[in-house]
Amino acid sequence: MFGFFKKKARAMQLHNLNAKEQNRQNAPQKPAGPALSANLEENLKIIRNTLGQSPDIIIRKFNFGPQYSYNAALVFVDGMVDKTIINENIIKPLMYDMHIVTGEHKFSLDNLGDLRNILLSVSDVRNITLFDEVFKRSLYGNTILLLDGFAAALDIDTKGWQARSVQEPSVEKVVRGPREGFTENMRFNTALLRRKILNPNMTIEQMVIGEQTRTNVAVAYLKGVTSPELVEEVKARLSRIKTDAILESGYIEQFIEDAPFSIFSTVGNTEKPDIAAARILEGRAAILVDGTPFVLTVPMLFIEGFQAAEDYYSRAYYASFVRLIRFMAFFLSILAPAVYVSLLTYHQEFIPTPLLITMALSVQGTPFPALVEALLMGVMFEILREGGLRLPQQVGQAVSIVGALVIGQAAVQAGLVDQTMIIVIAVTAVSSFLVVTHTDAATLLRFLLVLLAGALGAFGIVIGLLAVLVHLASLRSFGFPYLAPVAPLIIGDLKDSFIRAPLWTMIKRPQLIGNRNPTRQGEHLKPAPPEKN
Amino acid sequence: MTALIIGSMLGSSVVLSPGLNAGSASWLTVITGLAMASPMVWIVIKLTGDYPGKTLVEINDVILGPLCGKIFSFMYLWYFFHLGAIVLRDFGDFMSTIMRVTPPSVFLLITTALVAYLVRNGIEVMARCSLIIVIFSFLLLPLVFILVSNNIDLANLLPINSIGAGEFLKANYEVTIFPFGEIIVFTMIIKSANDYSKIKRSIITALALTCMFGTIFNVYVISGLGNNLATATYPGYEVIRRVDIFGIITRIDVVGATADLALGVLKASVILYAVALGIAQIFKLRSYTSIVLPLGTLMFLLSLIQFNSSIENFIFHERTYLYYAVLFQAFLPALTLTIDRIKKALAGRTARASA
Repeated sequence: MFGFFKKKARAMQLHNLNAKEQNRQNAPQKPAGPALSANLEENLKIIRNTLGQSPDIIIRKFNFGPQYSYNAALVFVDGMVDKTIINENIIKPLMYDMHIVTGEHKFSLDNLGDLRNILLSVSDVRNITLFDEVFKRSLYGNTILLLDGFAAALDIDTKGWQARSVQEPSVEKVVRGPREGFTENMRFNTALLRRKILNPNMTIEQMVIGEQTRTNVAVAYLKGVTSPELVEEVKARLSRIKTDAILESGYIEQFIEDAPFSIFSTVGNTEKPDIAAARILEGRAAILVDGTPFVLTVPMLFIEGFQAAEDYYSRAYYASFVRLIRFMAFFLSILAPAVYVSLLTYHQEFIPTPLLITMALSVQGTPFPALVEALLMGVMFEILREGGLRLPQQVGQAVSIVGALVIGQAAVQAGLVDQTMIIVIAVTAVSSFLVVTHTDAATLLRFLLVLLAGALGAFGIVIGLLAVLVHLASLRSFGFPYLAPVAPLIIGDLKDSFIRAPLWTMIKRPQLIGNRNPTRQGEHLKPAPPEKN
Repeated sequence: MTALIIGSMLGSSVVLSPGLNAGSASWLTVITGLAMASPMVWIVIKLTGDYPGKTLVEINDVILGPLCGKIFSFMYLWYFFHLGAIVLRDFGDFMSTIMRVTPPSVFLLITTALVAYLVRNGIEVMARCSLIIVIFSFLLLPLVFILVSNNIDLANLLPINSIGAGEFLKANYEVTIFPFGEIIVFTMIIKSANDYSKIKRSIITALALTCMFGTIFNVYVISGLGNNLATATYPGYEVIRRVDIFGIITRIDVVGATADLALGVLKASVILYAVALGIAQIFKLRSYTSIVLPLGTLMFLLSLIQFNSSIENFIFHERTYLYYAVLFQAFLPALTLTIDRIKKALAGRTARASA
């Protein structure tokens, strides 16, 4: 009996504590900065002092109304705003249409609401009272209308800066499938996502991160499909970030990832709305960052690196075949040089005799051991790749031609490297581009394994691979095991792993991630010709 | 869990191919050996089933009392520790037959480091890794079959009764002790399973699969090697080594060795985990991870100094280990279970008497 009351009292205490805690957390989010005063000149002075004398900050003063008795000023940033809106929809109605309005009605400027309701023909207009908001909104491309005699201002949406239009992304190219890619403008990006999922449950929550840059960051998810715990975890990790700048989603990625010391990435990214939408539909959450076309998706599994959007757009057989090719290419790209080095150094008996003789002839003239050759060519290739990527296109081409000639021909002719090594490195290079997501990790692993193979032969390679396996098995991305659905084994999800089963067999969402709403589609969807009687 | 048991059972048995002393009847020994081992398996299932969520060390404490239980636990842990060192040594020796110039201590050290890393990551990661490794080794089985099919002569499997019953029983006994008897290590690990009710099933599945794998592999080995069986140090390795397909695919022993190595790492890590967890529980440490590295180092040193050569290892295995291990695999657990049953019976009687 008493125990019950005690429990109640304790619960209420906790409740109060919670409320206090919440208040404390909410408090700093509404900084009660200095408020606007009723004096226009004073307000403008403060604005000038804060924003400085930058030439792109424009303060336009004008008079309007009966006998031009109202003093007003517009504050906006040149280049961020659409000037036609300011001219046609703000200044023009105030200066000219005012007469019409005052002629018809008894118009009095008692509050700013009348201006907003009757005169300004702009879609989004809000009342604001704080200087902080004035700065925040005007710097984000809005126009602030200040009026003498009012301790408030109107915040008018006039955003209209130059942005790259929606183009085909350069990284994730497709033969079949939508060509549009995300852009640097977050509003475009959210719109692109919404166009893919026309569902009221599609939710986008926005926050501001970065003390100096005040970058807009949005979390997008599908209510009822994405698990609420995941969304909470994502928001918690995002709100923990206290840094001065977010210039790209890579900044966010490095602050929220699970395994910061791993060479494998545990946060996915994509440039294509259809991929982002597909991942959201599987129960993931997407993080959109203003100023970059790369949208993050969490959680990320190892297998995602091997899945491409086109796998689902083309038919199952070929898609499965390409999947297998990708896996093979991934292993080739990390193993080929290491295996070659270990064969040449330790396990010559493994090589068929005729090939061994040819290889022996080609190795004969070269002075360095296979390990040195592999490292030399590997580093050379990385240099060329980096050069080809960063240089202007015209110079880049020149570099690749010189590189190809130097590496391909001259190095062999000069007796620096044997010919087979060139082939091995070339195969490695090509295959390393098939699995773009894991290219970084694969490159590092390749060098590590070459060193191990040079030191310990096949034993070194196996030990290296086992260590990588152990590491991968220990990774988690937002609480989801990285190697799922292979380890832990989820038989149903293997339909979309090494192969891609026909779409009508994929009835369930991925079991771990899509747990919230497991069924994706109806059963009996297998297409069949109409039954004949 | 199933995979973890399979992995550690297969671990060294693929390298050392137990039971091959029985000559052409050897392929039978794995099956009959499992039959002989079934009482031990039964004891393990009973012990862990009666005390769910407890490791062997804790069970000992409950059944035998704190002092006596600790003594028993120490004996078990010593055996596990020694077993780990033997497993490591087996693989060190095996690797140094492939890479003859590199001293075995190099392989031992690196393998131990990897094992310690795996154990520090916890039982869950071990289970996931074992799953992948076991799946791959099972995929390797048909591949090996295709490759060795050229050399196989099924007539080598006959006659079954080439040796006397005594020798056959001895070969059986070998299989019983190694690998099946080593199931006792799992009394330390079973409590970590997700679903306790499935434990019995997964142990039996694992043993059945191991038995299947072992039998098939022994069939390959016997039919592939025939009379050369007796001369091979590592018969399983030898049979893969002899693969020759039109002179193009030859000497693929390295591939086989790598699979063995992966399984061996798995087995050693299970054992090291058992030892570390047991010691942590005896001394009431908060976590076992801090003692993994020291224990790993000790295991490495023991594996290095216990034998002078791989021949000594073999002789120890044949003459001493088979009788030394049975103490821990069968006698001690049986004793513990009997005491438990007697205590329970007495308690039941007194309860009835007082009622």
